[in-house]
Amino acid sequence: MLNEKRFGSRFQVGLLVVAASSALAACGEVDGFTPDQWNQIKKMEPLAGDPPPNPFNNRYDDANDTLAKLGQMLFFDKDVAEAIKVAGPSGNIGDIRKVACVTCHSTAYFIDARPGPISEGISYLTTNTGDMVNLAWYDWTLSTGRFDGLVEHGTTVWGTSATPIAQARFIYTKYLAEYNAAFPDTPLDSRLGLPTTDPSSVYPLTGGPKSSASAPDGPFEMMPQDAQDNISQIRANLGRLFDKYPRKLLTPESPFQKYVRDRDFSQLSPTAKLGLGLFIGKAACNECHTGPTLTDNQFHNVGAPDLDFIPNTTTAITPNRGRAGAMQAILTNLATVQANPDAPLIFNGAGKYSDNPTLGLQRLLDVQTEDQQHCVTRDPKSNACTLYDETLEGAFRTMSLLNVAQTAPYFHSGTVTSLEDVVRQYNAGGGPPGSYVGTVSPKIRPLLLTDTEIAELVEFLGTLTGVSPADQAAADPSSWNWAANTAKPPLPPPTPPSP
Amino acid sequence: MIANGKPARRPPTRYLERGKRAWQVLAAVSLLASPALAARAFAQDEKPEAPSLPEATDDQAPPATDQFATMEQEIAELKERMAQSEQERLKSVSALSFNGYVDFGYFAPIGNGGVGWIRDAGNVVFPQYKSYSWTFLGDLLATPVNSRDEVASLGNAPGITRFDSINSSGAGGFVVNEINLRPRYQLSDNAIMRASVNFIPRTGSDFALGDFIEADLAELEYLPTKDGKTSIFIGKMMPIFGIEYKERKSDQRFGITPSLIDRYTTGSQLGVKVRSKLLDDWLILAGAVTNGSSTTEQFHFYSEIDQNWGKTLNGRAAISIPVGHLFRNDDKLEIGVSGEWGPQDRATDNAGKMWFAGLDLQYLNANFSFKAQLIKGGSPGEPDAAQGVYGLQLHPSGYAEVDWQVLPQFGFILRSALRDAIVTLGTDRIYITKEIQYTVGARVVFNPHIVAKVEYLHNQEYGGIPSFLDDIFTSSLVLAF
Repeated sequence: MLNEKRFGSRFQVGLLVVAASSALAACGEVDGFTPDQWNQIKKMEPLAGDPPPNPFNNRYDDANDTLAKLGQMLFFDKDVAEAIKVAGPSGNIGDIRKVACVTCHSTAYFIDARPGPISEGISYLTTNTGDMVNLAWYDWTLSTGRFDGLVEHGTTVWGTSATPIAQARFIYTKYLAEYNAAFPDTPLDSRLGLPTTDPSSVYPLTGGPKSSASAPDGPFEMMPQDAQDNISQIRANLGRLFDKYPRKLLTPESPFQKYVRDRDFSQLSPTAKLGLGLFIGKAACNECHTGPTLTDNQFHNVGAPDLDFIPNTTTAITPNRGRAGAMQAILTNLATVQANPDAPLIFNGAGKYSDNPTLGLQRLLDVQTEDQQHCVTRDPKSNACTLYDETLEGAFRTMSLLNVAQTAPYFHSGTVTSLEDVVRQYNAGGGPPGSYVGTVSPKIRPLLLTDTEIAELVEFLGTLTGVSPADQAAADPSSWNWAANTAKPPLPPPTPPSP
Repeated sequence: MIANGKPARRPPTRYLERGKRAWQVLAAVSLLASPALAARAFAQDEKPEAPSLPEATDDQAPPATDQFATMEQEIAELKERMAQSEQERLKSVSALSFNGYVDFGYFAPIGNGGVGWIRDAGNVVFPQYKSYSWTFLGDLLATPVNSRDEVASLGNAPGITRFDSINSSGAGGFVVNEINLRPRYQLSDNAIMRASVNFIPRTGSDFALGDFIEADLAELEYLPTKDGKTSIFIGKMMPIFGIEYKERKSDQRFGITPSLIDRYTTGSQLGVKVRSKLLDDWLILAGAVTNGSSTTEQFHFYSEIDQNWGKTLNGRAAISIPVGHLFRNDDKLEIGVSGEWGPQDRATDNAGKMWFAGLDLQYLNANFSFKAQLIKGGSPGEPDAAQGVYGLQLHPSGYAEVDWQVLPQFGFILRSALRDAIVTLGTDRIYITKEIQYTVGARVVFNPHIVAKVEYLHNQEYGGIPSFLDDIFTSSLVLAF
């Protein structure tokens, strides 16, 4: 048996071991997070690094922001808008000059402030309008990734207001000088200013390329080839504008950004920190929501319910196949550009207007590979894939979570109106079966979160809200206000037709 | 196995074969030691043993023939007294006895919040597994704090609610690891009832106690032969796979924590078991028919009550070589092979088969032992995660351990273990383990009833799994009775 002295010394050694091991236990922790957890958090640092450049739109120097500022002017200008086709929040049928980009991107975080799950330009869109900030980090544009970047998207996005020919005439009428300054190599054709009654006029008032090769020729196809090329060139240049401008719209300095970047641990409340722990732990949100804008840029079927009808109408909306639906349009473009690299109506990265067609083509070929890997059923005539496997059917791009508390409604269909309900939907493993196309991704499984944990997650998501472009300008009046309406004054009302 | 510095297993017949003089000394000492014998703890898996005795030598032989008659008379008297004493003892000793222990400890996780895994978020490390909902790297049970294989923290994994019995959140602390009670009742001359019940005090919640009780042994041992070398067990009993199960309780374990593969080999099984020693104890054969595998209850596979009709077949064959005087008397080298095969645990049908195959080796000396075990196995699992049937690919894994009782009061343990496994649950979860665990520990024997132990476990990931700090320090004070 031990005597007291020996027992005492062993007891002291034991205490030392206990103290030392306790000190070691916390080594490497950052604000209570283990090194592995902190590494995961660091990968989520909002807007880390410079915005990636667009490889398809690097021809023009960004130093003077000419393109971005012209894009900003056009973004706000409603004079371009043709007649509204469907009565709704945009106005009544026949109303003109009621719609611009800003109509559906009207809030501080550039979403649609008007109620309803989906937006209306001159007619209804079939999907929820996403925000328009921090877009430079996206590989593909729109929730389906229909476009390979902001340029391709920008060549068509004005279609919510007017046809390509009407757009061209509008720019000539109102922004001729600005446009020619921005694109000195491809100035506007002076014939765009001629009335259709002028014998030299080659441009009708409105119109665009026919919707399919088999459709009869329309006003666009009836124009001389050089006029068609001019319209296409204008569309390509519009794509550049509507790439450069959104790239200016950033929302830095969110509490979470300061928390990670500056290690300012006061930026998150204790509840938000618990939510962060869930985000990278039990909820595993960072399986997909990671990176500088909290998206993996991949497409997943998260079981988000589709919208069945256009609001307040009986007009049914076709079930949205998401990425699967976009694949065919992308592959059609690929086939076109492979047949003719100078195809005039191809505005993606592989097309003739791109600054890096090689890279653009490779990205489309990657899509083709994806198509071959995941297609289950093909149309025997067209060879188009009519059914993809669960990886693509009903899959939508992981949306950025930056400013997510300010960007309701949610999902491609806008059917979920609160952030808490979004979390609850994920907690349930997706929406009700049958309410969406395809099979929910294996990444979406019931999370078993408690009500308290859901509230903690929602609180954390609130810390992802950065300073809006308008607030940035307000805080620094010497800086350019990218949220300001810089459109030229409205044009005089159009002359009513003679009786 | 070494318990308190003494080998726990010795063939009792050896003592009876050492000649007349040795037997005489044995008889005399037995007479004196009979009260102590009566109180000796039983070994769970073995028959009660004879006490350790020094060997008789030729030097002790009586030298003179003229003293022979006197000696004969004294021996006769001793025999008579011994017989009388044995009769008295048998009358006074109850057929019911109790053993057990209290195991109290302090542990300190070092790194990763006491959690033995990390999640491969976004399948950055192993993109080939992106079809699974969640991919986990490391080992759920890499941070044990006690002989129960309870870990410092199971972590906060998505899509599952686990009973995290320690749930330390990475903090060090004291814990009553286990209170064990082992009743034993001699039903007849050749039948023994045994049970082992654990009381585990843990944190409650919402006004409910968190304490729980676990019955890990409830068996009948029947010895059908007179030599006592064959036993038939019925009930909830110890497994027969490998060797680690023999020291699964903390009063039997030289160190504190189990190896990385104990989860496959040390779980109690329900069924029927037969074990026999043949060829003068050189050959040990054991076989069993059980509900499920020998996996431990808190791991993914165990099922106490079968949900399928098929039963698991278990077997082990070992050669026990009395190495004898290589180092010291009674040294023993045992080499065994084990196997299990049957319907996978938790499955409701017999379609998928679970199997394990193993090789074990142990060299046992009074103060020193070397043990090693190798295991491989598999189970297909079920594609539908909702069925809760896990799949397993257990690649060759094992451990090697040295236990050395350097002094009667002090000993140390070194162990290196490896686990290379993939565990899946449908397409929901995949656990990828490529882990090497190094264990160093020491023990202090205050007396046969009080043993203090400390251990440090260092976990090292390999095979492409990012290394992360998930070590653990733990200690144990075992108070046995």
